[in-house]
Amino acid sequence: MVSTELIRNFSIIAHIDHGKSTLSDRLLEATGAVADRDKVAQYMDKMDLERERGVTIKAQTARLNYTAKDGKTYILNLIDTPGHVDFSYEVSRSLSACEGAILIVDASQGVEAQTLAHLYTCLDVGLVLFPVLNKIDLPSAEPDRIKEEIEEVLGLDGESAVLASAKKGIGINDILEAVVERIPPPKGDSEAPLKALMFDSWYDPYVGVVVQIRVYEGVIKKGMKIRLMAEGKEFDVDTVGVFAPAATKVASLGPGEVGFFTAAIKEVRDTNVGDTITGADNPTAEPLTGYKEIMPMVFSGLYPVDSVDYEDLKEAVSKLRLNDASFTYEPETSLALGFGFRCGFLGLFHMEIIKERLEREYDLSLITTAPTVVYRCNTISGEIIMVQNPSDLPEPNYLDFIEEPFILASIHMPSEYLGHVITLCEERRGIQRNIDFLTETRVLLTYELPLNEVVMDFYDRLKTLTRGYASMDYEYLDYRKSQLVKLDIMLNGDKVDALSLIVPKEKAYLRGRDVVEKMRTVIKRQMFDVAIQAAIGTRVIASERIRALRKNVTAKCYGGDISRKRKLLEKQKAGKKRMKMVGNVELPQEAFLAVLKTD
Amino acid sequence: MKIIEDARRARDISIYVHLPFCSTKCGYCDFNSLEEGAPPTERYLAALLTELQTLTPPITDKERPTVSTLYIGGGTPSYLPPDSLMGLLTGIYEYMGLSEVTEAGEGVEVTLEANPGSLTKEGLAAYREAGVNRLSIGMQSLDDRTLKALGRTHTADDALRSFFDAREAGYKNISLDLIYGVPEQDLKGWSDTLEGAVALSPEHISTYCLTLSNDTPMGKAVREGGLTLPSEEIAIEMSEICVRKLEEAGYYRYEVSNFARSGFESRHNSRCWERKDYIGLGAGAHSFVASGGMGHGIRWWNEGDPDKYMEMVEELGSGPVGLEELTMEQARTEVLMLGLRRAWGIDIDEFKRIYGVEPIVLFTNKGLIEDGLLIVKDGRLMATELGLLFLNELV
Repeated sequence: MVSTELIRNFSIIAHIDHGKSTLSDRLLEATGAVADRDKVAQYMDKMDLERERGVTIKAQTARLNYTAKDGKTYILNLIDTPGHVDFSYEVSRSLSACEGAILIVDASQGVEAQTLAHLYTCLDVGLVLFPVLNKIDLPSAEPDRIKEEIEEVLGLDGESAVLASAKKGIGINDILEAVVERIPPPKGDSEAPLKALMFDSWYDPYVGVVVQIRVYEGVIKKGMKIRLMAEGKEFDVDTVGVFAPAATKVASLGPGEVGFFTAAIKEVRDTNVGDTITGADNPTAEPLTGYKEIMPMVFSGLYPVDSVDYEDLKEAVSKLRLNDASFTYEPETSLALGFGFRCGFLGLFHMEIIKERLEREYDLSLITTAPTVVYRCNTISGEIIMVQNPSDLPEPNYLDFIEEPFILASIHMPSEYLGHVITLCEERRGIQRNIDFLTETRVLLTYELPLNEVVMDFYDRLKTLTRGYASMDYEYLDYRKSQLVKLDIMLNGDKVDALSLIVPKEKAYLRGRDVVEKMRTVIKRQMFDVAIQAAIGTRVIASERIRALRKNVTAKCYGGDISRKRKLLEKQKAGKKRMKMVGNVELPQEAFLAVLKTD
Repeated sequence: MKIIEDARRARDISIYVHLPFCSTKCGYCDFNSLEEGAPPTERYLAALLTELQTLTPPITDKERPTVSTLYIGGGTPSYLPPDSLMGLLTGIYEYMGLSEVTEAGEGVEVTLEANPGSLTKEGLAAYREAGVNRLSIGMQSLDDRTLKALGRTHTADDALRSFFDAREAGYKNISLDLIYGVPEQDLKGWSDTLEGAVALSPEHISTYCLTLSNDTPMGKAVREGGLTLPSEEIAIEMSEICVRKLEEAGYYRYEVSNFARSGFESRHNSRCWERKDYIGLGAGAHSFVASGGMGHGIRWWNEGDPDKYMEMVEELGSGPVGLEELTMEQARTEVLMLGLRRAWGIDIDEFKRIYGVEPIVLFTNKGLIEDGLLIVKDGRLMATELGLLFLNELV
């Protein structure tokens, strides 16, 4: 067992693109954890998808051996955190496994909303922080200004910031020294009953679920019976190990150590991030604080374009679920779309990732219905029904009132865009909480917003209005009573259940018009006229008509060149591949998302 | 070379010979043809025969294929001096062992494309002697304004005279090519052309709607606004008039663009649409062997530039620059695409036997039968007249 004095547990926190992955790579290289020639760029981000989006989805940790200037060799556990707003709970659990964190701030862009949000989380869990000014090599770097900003906005000592360029390898040793000097070693009694935090887990087809832990007290070793305290399930430990960064078996893990264990756990569902692990024979009295069950916040229907792909989709979602406890699904049938699944996600970003993985890794062509939140419907008989799908909304005469989830959004932006953003938030039924001028030119705006308004095109609009300069973070607040109605969309007189949506009553007419107009532009002309209508109950509130396609003269001369003719058809057919036939109308994916766009 | 192996596997073939030479190039033409090219040299003709010898086994080979049709297209084949053409045909007959070339309907169908501007009495007699038993005359229109708009060098009178000369020379199987949807053309002009053509009583009529590709001079003029095409509505009306008039006159529409008196369908083109084997010789010619590739057919095409083509043949024996080994899905698409263009449609049982599915389930759009675009008759799936107007949307 390692002396806690020689352990440092830390995270790197940063806004997307501020260089977290590159810095992680450099730290691994500098400590010899990854030989140069073997290294895959940005080792810490394992999935392709993550690399493309520049974010980390599944946290990967690494144990580094570092011999400091004082001549001692330290174990530095670099604990990675997921990098997006949808995963804020996972971030908080990963952070609470550390004693300290490096806060990366881009030397030219300064502090962003996400940095701030993570900072608060760090302070909440009591971490020691020190700032690193990254990208110091860029001509646009303004270290002095940003140091001031760090002091003003973050309340940290700007002068102590380490200057670095992860890309150029500048300042890497200074950072490692600072980790040893400034971050306190962990404490803990190895004789006490086992108390460890589970901060990540994933499914491995050979060994079952791999659980990442941070031990606080006691010791975990092979053969021991452990208990997961949230649900009281017990397992026998098969292996204990660390990631260095390759998985390496160790005899045991004691106080302050970070590593993993396997115990023939079959489902990721049994392992809840934030749960406390203890010994079954000698359990600890109190679990660690801060455990929350994660709930999907955004729901959407996923349907195969071609109904014969349903079984493939079913297999694919069940496989994804193995590794992602925050993703839920259940079978759903739509009159318009056939058999599919209603899936739950942590947020829009999470939903995008899942959809892309299904399409890319499982080669499925999918239709996604517009994302919705979960509404709490109170019926006149006093029942409460949670509705994830607008078409399940009870009839108005059974409904007493509907409640919808609200979030607290923190939006960070240059002050010149403040007016536009306030207007946007007001349009989206927002309630202003606070306007905080962090510096003369940067503002932090906080608004209470219905989540429903955010899952629409809020991000897009925000980015457009601020030319991409705004960033946003949110947390869940509560359910509130709202005046909401169901808006149905009809094609040639038939209601298309998959297009129904729940909207604020006072906006229903406007939205109806918008949606119908948008649909008219995205549905291609068909062989017959198509009537598009929006209705509330039986009242039609907007309608549009798409004229039938003109006939085409097919008497073309093409000689023996049949390839050319066929390729034209194939091209056309490829375009149709993403179309879903609803009745005799071909609907493109955009039609299902048209209900989302409001501009 | 894979192509040669596949080509030599064909057992019953059609031969297409491309002669890419014209006196002038028409403003709408995007076929492989050359303006003011020197009349095809002996060198080009020699290359054609070399290519034939490369792609089919020698006459002594027991496995050598039989020939069903021979089609000389262009370009303007009639631009070729009659002697040269005779030499070419004799060469092909000798190599393929075709001793007797008889009238249409029996033996080998030998078609020659001819333009009224270059067709002479002497030529007609010579071609006939060389075994040509089917003439395809590029009449295009009997309206001088339309001919002028198309940039053709012949007049309506020339076209009529060519037809009478051909009859006099003994041709009993004549096809006329007509074109509609031409700038400045109106419904009346088209209607008159159709009536004039029917009055001549040819055995076969092809009617094409003008398709302009962007890189032709006429395509450019239309794009830039200097020329106006009839609207698509008018073009469709022209197509409808054409179907009505020709059917009234006893021609049946056996393919979207082709009308014939019974028994005078183009055997050569029909075989292409049926995906029977054809070997294309010459610059830019296309070939197909159904048993080739991965078992679902192979298509290949030759170098388009005649000089480069000749060099290739002289060096390699053949001039392919592209090939496509069809997948099962591609072959299936072709069967649907080509089948629906034809009056015969698709044999449902045969389709099922080969591809394991009912053809109807392969259509993205459902309800096409209920909507009257497709019809099932005597075990065959066919496009209705309405369906023929939506062919591009159906498959």
